[in-house]
Amino acid sequence: MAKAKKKPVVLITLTGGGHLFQSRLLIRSLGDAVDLAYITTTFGYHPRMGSIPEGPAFIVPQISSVTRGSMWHDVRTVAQAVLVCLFAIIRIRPTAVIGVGTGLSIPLLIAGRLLNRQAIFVESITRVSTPSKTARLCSRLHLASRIYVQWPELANHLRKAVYQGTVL
Amino acid sequence: MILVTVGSTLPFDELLKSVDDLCAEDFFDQEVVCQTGHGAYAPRHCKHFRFTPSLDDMFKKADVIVCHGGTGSVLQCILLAKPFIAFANPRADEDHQGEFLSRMSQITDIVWSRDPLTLKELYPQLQGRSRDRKIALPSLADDLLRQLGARAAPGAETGA
Repeated sequence: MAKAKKKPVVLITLTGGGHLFQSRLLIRSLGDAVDLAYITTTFGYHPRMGSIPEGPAFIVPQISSVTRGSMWHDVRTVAQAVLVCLFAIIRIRPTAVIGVGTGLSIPLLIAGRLLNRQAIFVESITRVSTPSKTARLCSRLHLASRIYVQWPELANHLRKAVYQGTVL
Repeated sequence: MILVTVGSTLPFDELLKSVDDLCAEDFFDQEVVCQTGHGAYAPRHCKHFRFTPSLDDMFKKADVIVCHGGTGSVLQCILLAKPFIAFANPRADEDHQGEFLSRMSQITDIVWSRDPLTLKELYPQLQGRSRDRKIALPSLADDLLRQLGARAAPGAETGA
């Protein structure tokens, strides 16, 4: 008898505000097809806060300015976040890491690439014709194996960006 | 209840002041509650609070929502089929809120503006407006699942 195919495991960002809402919509769309683990922040969302499937959660320091023109001031914070993400990936062994809009995606994707995982970035739906700084960094630094944009007109602005629909 | 929310990232005192000024005139026909976030302005003519762990319940209970142009607020209003007016926060990078609202208004019926002072003029436009905003866009989850080598399971849902 053939063995049942194991579900992929995905390590996904959960932060706050609009990025969180989009993470939640995407998680809902993925349904039971994947098992989930989460990267969140001290003040971010946690699975126990409701409507998000249970799964291990790993907390990284709040990165407030990685993509706001002061990255060098946050180098230590980013390094700490990368270490947490590396630990999470070694512990969870996900098929892929997914960053949804947030600057937290940077350390997650760095860690994902270092450990040879699929590293996917989903650009925020608010970005129609101008990519975010996070998306540009993911593209320029070759951090993402795939970048989903949520409007077709944005796809040509980033290397490895594709439009395949939205999180809605 | 009219819920006013400016989100958890950027201050939007102009919107709060516009709402507060209208409350002083008894313009609204319902109780107004403002989530003020990081703003310095504290409304004097309506209830307000800075943050709460989740606004989900308030969104569900609200009869009308006045919000900033952030993704979470706008999409939640659409998915809950609530009458709402959205205002683009000028502090958002590269006017992405204004761009987002403009683009959304091309695919669904929403009321929005870049100027909070237009709230008085826009509020009556919510009357009689259909709340049924079907958004026919494909879901990127289908492609994502293919990339992951997963099969879509019956438990998957799409939003709008």
